[in-house]
Amino acid sequence: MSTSANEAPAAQQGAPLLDVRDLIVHHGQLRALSGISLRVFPGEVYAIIGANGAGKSTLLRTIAGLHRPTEGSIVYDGKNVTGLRPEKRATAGIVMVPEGRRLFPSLTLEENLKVGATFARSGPWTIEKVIVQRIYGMLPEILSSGVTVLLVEQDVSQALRVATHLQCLLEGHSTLEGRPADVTAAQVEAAYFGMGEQAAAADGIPEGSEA
Amino acid sequence: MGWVNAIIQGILTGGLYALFACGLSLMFGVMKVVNLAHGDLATVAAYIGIGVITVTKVPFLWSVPIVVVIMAALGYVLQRSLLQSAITRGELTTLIVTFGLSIVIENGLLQFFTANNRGIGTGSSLISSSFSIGAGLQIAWLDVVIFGLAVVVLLSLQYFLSASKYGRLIRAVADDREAAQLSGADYRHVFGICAAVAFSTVALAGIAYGMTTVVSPTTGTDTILLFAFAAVVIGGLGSLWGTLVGGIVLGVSQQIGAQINISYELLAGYIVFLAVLVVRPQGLTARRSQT
Amino acid sequence: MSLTTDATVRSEENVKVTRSRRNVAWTGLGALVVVVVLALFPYLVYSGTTAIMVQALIVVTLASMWNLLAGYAGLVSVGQQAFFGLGAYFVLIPAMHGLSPFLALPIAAIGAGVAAFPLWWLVSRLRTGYFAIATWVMAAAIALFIEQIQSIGGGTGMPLPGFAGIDPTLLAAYTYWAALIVATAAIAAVYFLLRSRLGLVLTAIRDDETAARTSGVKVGLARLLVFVVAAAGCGAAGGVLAIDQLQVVPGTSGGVFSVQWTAIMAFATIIGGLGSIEGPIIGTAVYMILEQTLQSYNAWYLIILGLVAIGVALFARRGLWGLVDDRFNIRLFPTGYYLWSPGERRRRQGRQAKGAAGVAS
Repeated sequence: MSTSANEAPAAQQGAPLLDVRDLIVHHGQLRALSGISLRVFPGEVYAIIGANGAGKSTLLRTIAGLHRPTEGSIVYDGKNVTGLRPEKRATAGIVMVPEGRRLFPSLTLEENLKVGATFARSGPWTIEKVIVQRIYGMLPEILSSGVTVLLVEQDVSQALRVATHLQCLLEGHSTLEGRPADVTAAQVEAAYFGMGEQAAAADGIPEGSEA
Repeated sequence: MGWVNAIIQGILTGGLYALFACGLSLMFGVMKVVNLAHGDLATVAAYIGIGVITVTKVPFLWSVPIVVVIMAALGYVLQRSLLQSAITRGELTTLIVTFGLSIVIENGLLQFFTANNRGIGTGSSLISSSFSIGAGLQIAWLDVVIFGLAVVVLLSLQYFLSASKYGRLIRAVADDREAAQLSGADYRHVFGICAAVAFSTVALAGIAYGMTTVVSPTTGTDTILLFAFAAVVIGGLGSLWGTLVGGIVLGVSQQIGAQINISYELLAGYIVFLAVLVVRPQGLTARRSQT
Repeated sequence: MSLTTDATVRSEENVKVTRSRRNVAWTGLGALVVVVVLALFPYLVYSGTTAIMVQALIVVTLASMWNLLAGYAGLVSVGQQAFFGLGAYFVLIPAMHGLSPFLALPIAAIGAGVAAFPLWWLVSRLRTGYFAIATWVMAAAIALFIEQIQSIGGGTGMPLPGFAGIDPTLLAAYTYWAALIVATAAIAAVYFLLRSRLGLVLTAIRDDETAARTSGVKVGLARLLVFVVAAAGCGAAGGVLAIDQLQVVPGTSGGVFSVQWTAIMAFATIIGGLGSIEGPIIGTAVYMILEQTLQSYNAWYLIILGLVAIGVALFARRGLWGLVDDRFNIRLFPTGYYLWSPGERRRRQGRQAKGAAGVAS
C-alpha cells in the first residue's frame, strides 16, 4: 500500500500521513481487529507482520476502504477518510496493491495498465515507467520518488530489512511496535507467535460475543 | 420450396432474437443480474415508441433514437437505484426485485393500455414490402433490415467493449469488482453505464419486435424473455456473438416446426432449447464458488 | 481472530438444548383449536365467505411451498404454476373417468410430485438466476404441450365432471373442507420437514454449501426432496382450484398455467416473511385483503402487491413476520434450537441459536 506525500499542501513536518486510531473491525460476528493503531510518516516504509489470520489483510483492506470498521478512525493527510468509498481513496492517494496481484484476467496487459491510468493523478509514474520487477527491487526507487509505503509481510526478515517502522499483529491485537533497530529477534519471535506476557494480554478472556 | 423459405426466414428471425438476447447476456455477464423484467422492458420500449409517434407525430425513424435515449436513461437510473440496492443484498433479492418489476410493468401496462394488441406503424411502404430471389422465395425487407440491425448492434457492442474507455472499465469491473475499485473506478457508475447500454439494445429489440408483429402487455414474458433466454442458452453464456448463433438456431427450429404443423412453431423452439439444456448447459451450470 | 462463544459447555448435564422457548404443547393446542374453528366455518358463515376462504387456503398452500423452496432451499422458482396446473389436470382426468374429484386430490399431489423428478433433472444444474428463468420456460412449455391435447380441453379448457346432483351449498362446504385439509397438511408437512434432519441439512446448505458438502451432506438430494414436496403441494392446491372453479382452463394469461400464480405465492411469501413458516400465513392475509378491496378483475392489486414485495425485499427482508420476530422473539412454529445455560429459567431468557431464522442471501 502506498500513500503519496507529493501534492499534500497541509502536511507538516512531524504530522503523520496516515493516522489510524483504535481500529475495530468485524467480519460478521468475528472480531478481526481489536483496537489497532498506527501512524505512518511521509517517506516511511511501515511493515505489518504476523502469521496467518492475524488480521493483516483485514487491516489493509479497511484502510483501502473495502471494509468498514466498526469503530475507530482513519485519517489521511489531515482528512478523515473513514467513511470514504474505496475509489475515492484511491484517487486521493491511498492505493492498495492487493495480495496475489489481482489483475483483470480478461484484459490484456496494456488494457490493465490503461485501467489504472484512467484515474491516475499526475506524478513521476507513467505507463512507460511501469515494468514488471520484484517489488523489493523497485522499493528504493518508489521511495526516492516520494511515496510512503505501508507494507504487509509474513516473511519477517524481508520486512525487517526494508522497514523503517514495524508493528506485529496476532489475532487482531497489536503485540509489538517499534523500529527494527530497537527490537531483538527474540522479541519479534515472541510477538509473532504469541508467547510471553504480551501474548497473554492479547489473548485473555473472551469478551462478549455479538452485539 | 417452403423449406428453404422457412430456413431463410428462421435465420433472419435469429437476428431479432439476438437483439432480444444481447442485453440479457450483457447484464448477466457484467453484473451477474438475471433480469426477469428484460422482456417487459422491451415491451415498454415498444409502447413508448408507439406513444412518441402518436403524440409527437414524428416520422417513425425519428422515434427510434428518442426511445433509445429514454430507455438508456431509464436503464441508468433503474440500475443505480433499484438494482444496485438489490445486488448488494444478494442474488435472491435481485431475482425477487426483477420479478416484481416484471409483474408491476405487465400489470401496469394492462391497466393503462388494456390487453389489446398494438403495432408500430412504420409508414414506409419500402419496409413493409418484400422481394423475391427467384424460385418463389419471398423475403420481407423488414426482416433483412432487422437482421442487419442486429449485426450492427453486435458489432458496436463488441467495439465498445474492446476499445472504449468505458468498455474497458466494464470488463474490468466484471472481472474483479474490488480490484477495479482499488484502481479508482466507482463500480456503481460503471454498472449504470452497462445497464444503459443493455437497455438501449432492449429498446431496439422492442421496437423491432413491434414492427414485425403486434405487442401486448404480456408480450414481454410470453415471448421476448423466453426467446432471449433460449438464444443465450443455445448460443452459450458469455458470448455476444453466441446470441446470434443461438437466435438463428432457435429461429430455424421454430420455422421448421411450423412447416411440419403450424401449431408446432413455439413447441419446436422449446424442444430445441430443452435439448441444449440437457446436452450442453455450458456456462449455465453452478460453479464451485459463489457469484 | 478469536471467535468467542457464549455457551461454553462446562459440564454436559447442565446445558439444555430445546426446540422452543416455551412449552410447545400450548402452540400445538392453539393450532388445533384454530383448525377446528376453521372446520366449523361452513356451519357458521355464509357460503360466500367460505368461497373467499377457499381462495385464501389455496394461496396459503402455494405460499408455504414457495417459502420452502426459496426461503429454505434457496431455489427461486418462477415456474410453480406448472405443478399447479398439472395438479388441476390430475384431478380433471380421473374425474372424466368417473372418479370423484375429491378422491383425485391425492392423485394430483402425487402426480405433480412425480412430474417434478424429470423436471428437476433438467433444471437442477443451473445457477440461481437461470434456474428461475428455466422453470418459467418449463411451465410455458408444459402449458403449451397440454393445450395441444384436445381430449382434455385443448386451449379452451374443460368443465369438471363428477358433481352432478350435489346440492350447491353442500358442494361449497366439501370444497372448503378439501381446501382446509390440503392447507393444513401442507403447513404441517413443511413444519415437520423443517424440524427433521432435512431442516438441519437445508440450513447447513444455506449457510455454507461447500462446508455442507464436505461434511457429507447430500446437497442435491436435499434440494430434490424439497423440489418434489413443493411440487406436490402446488399440485394439490391446483386440484383444489379445479374443484372450486368446476373447470380447468389452461393458458398462460389467467388460466392455471399463468405466471400470476407464482407472482401471488411469491409476493405473499415475501411480504409475510421469507424463511419462516408463519410468514406465508401472514402474507396470504395481506394478499387477501388487497385482493378483496381492489377486486380481482383489476390489475391494481397485482401492481401494489409487486411494489410492496419489492419494497419488503429491499428494506425488510424478513417480511412482516420478521419484524414481529425481531421485536418479540416469538416463534409459533419453532424449527431452530435454543441453548439454555445452566440454571436459566425457561420462561425468561434463552438465546436462540439462529437456526432456521433469517433469509439466505
